[in-house]
Amino acid sequence: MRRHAQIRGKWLAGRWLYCVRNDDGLHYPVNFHITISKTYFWYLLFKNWNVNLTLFFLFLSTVAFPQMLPDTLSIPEVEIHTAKKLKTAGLQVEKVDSLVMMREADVSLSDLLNAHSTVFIKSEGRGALATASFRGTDASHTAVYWNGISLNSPMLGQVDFSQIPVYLMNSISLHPGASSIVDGSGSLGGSILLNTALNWKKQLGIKVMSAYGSYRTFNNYLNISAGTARFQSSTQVYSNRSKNDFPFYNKNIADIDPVTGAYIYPLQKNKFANYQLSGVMQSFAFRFKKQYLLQLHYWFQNSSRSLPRLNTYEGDDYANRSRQHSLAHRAVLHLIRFGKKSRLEWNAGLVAENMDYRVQNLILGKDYYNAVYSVSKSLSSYNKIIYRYQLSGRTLLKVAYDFNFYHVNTLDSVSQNGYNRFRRNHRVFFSWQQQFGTRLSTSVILRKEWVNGFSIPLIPYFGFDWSVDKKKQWLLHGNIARNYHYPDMNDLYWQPGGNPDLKPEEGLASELGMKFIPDWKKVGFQAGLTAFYQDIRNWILWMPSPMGYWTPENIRHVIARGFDAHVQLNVQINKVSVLLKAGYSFTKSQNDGNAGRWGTDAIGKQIPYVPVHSGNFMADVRWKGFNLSWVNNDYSERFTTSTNENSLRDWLYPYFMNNLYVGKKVRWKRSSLRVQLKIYNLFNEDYRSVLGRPMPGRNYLLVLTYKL
Amino acid sequence: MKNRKFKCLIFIVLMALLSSCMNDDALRDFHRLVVRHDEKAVFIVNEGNFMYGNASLTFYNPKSGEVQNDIFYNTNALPLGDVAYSMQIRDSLAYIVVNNSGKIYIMNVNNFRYVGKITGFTSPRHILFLNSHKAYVSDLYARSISIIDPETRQITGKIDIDDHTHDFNRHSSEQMIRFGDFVFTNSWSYDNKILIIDSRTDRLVDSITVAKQPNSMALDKNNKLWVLSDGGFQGSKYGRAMAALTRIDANSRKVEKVFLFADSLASPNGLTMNPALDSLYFLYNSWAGGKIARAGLYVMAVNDLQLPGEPVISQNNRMFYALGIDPSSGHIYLSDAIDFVQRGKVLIYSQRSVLLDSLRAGIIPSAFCFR
Repeated sequence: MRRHAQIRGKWLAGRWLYCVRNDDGLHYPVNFHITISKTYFWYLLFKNWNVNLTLFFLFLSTVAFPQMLPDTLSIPEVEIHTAKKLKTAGLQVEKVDSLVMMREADVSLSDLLNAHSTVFIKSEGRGALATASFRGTDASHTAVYWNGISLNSPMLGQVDFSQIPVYLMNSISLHPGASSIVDGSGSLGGSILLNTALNWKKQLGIKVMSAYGSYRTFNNYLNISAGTARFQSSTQVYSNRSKNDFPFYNKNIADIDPVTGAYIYPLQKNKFANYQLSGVMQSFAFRFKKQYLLQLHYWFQNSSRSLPRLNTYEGDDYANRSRQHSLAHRAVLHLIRFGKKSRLEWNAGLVAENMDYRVQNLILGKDYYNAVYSVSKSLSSYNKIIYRYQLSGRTLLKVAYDFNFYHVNTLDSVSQNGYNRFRRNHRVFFSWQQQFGTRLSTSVILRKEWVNGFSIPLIPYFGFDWSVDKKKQWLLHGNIARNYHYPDMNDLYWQPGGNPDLKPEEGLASELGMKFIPDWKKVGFQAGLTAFYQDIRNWILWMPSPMGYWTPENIRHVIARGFDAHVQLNVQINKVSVLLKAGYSFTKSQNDGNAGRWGTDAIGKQIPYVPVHSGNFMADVRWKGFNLSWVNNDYSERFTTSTNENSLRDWLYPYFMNNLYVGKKVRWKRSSLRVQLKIYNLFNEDYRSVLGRPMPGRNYLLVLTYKL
Repeated sequence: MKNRKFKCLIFIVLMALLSSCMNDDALRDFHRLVVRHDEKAVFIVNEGNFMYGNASLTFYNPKSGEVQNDIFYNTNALPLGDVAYSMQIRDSLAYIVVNNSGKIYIMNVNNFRYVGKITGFTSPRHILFLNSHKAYVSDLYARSISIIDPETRQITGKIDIDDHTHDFNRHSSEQMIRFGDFVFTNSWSYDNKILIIDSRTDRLVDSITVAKQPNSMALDKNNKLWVLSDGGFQGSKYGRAMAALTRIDANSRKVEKVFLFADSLASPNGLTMNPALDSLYFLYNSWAGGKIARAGLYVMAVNDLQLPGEPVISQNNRMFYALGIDPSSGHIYLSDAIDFVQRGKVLIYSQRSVLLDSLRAGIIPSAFCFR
């Protein structure tokens, strides 16, 4: 709720959240540094990737590569990070299944989480702003880390999940609730970890993916990895674009038939909703002196999208045209020194983002004038040192120190409102993991944080894991933590309206759960049930006043409780491999009263945009290279009012979304080609994610993946 | 074993097939509201949340106390749109200006039926009827006032009010008041002008400088134009000035008196005249929502020599959003938007500020239209 308010405030006063640049010229760094031999072919491939990867895809598969390949078959992948012997007790980790990652490689992180997790995704439409919230909290309470550095905007504190392509990531893990304390503070809802890991294959690896879909959608992706046992490089380049002009009957507007008086609903296209996203990610890993591992990651992304008007719009077609454009450079350096009993890590990251958002109107048929033209630049620097020491086989100690620095400079050149502010953030971290006997382990974490000299109260965490039975098939786990979310920079400084007197949001999160991972032959099975309780005070809400002036206040007190359940089954029957996976979440996230002014009718009611029930299901069957996957996700109704009153007009009714994927993989010598047809919204249902925005009906995507 | 699992799978598939297939048409399959109201009525325009498209219209009968919410949707199965801003009644037709949908919906005031629309605006705010073939529509961003023909429901022209600077969207137009052949409109957004349009030539002929951000105007019995300025936003480059009430002689177009609000946080709005046109009513508040001393509804006689010191109705922990005065009874209509994401309250007071009635309208009740 809070973010909507903020978004609205932006619209009126001219803000950055959606940004655009008018010229569509894309500029990329010309030289990609790659370590494999630079033949003319490579040169061409890189130079033109942006133009059309497809041609190269065909070219690659037929002509060029069979001769160029090394003669070895692929070696099983070795993860860089060895599995921890002692894990943080009580930690709840929901790792996205590798099969899901493969099936959904061509989508955005928002689509993946929407279909395969119980994290709630609020999407403004296909390709548009999508935010994620855990367990009935706010989108700004979800932290996202990429290789250890935060992807949250220092201005809004949230992440647009539509802007993160899944194919760039090798692993995605979710840490709901108190579990997020291991990653950082402030994530009252939970955190999401994205990792780009390299393998240590001593050979060239190539992956080309081309997807063509409805509404002129083209996704192209190329990954080249190469290296030795000591040095690895991975280069990923990509480009996604879509006209996104799906047709729909707009029943929110009507013309009146002059004869019969009947309403004529226009068949419209989702105009001004095109998007494009392109970029490059380069990763290097070095191993040296036996105990050092150095990783470097660089990610550049250029994104541009038009923001469609609501489906009730019947104004001037040349007015209210908005575009958002963003450029982001992100770099991470991660050095690890492995000792016998200790490990020292240094993680440094730099993120530079430049976003602009523009709303234009054609004035008096002559010129386009900006009604909003907001440019926001932010620079974030992340520095972290982590030292872990294994005192014994039973005790692991960890200390860490973070220093983060943020600079935000934002200005709307029309209203000439903006701010230029710095933030310095020091954090210290201490963790003690202790094993008692063979079945019980506990963890204690303490965090302390200072923001621009403001001391945030101590953040403590306690968690335990207890194997109920001797075979360790049943695991009881629990945790509890206090957490604080310091206001984001827009909350404090936004002009007009930012409130420098805001207090940190204060959260208490706890959970208790049971996992069952039996040791069955031939059948992989796991199930879990976790009950959670979260209490958030001083929840920041942006409140409007007449004439469109918004200001944030520490208003809401929210108690969220419920449970998550999941079950997964892997089974092989003859030559048929089956994966069945289901998740369900029950979330009562209730308003428990508000400081100062607030209607009592909202107390005890579900927080807007949090569904009480959400579920997902996936069935995947593989046979002789064929695969058939059925992906289903469901949400119960969401409310748009604090009092949970709904009229049919603004009812976000429950929906049950079904997607079907059919694929076939063919191997040819050392390479493989997978053809996959994805049918989204299989039953061509009407559904609503937010008010006033149409969603596409049944649509198709054909994905070709060539792998070497 | 294998067979059973297969059957299981089929069952699950069937379950999903049956549980799905949502169709939006079901939402329009309800008994439409069929009414006929010829009596005295108050229409409450609820602007709804920006970018939600959940504006609505509430009907209130002050005699019987009858309230009907969502009358436009319940009669027509069409949403009103995004940010319904103002409404005017001409004969039996209501013209509802839907700001962020760029259109004006036309509704029969007796049976609430949707009868037509005027489309193609940029950011329309108010409508002013001049004669049966001409009306003006003010606009926040268009830098022009649209001329429409209410008969043909077409935009017939534009009055250029652009001051040709690229700064701050100047000039916007908000409320419009007719005075003889001239129309006064206030340029609110990052502006400080009252613009004067000659309705015979449809041209901008004059302007008057007032305090920053004039948000509302009213004409009194002495042909004095009163303008309430909120002073702008703190921290803006355009600058924040003291909020002020300005008295202008409508004939000479001269500023006669400026009353400055003492509190630098004050941002009053909603200037309205009583039926006798001898008292001014306005909401005294601050942008920072209720964080100002003595917030509430204020009354000032047109002959008073200074601003009133105390509210006639205190805001307390409410959030007064809009003000309307019934031109026939003089009753005061105040809306409380509460938390802005639930149906707001409307409080009805007598001329002596005695609470007569209260009701729940739609989300953010923002304007009143009296018949």
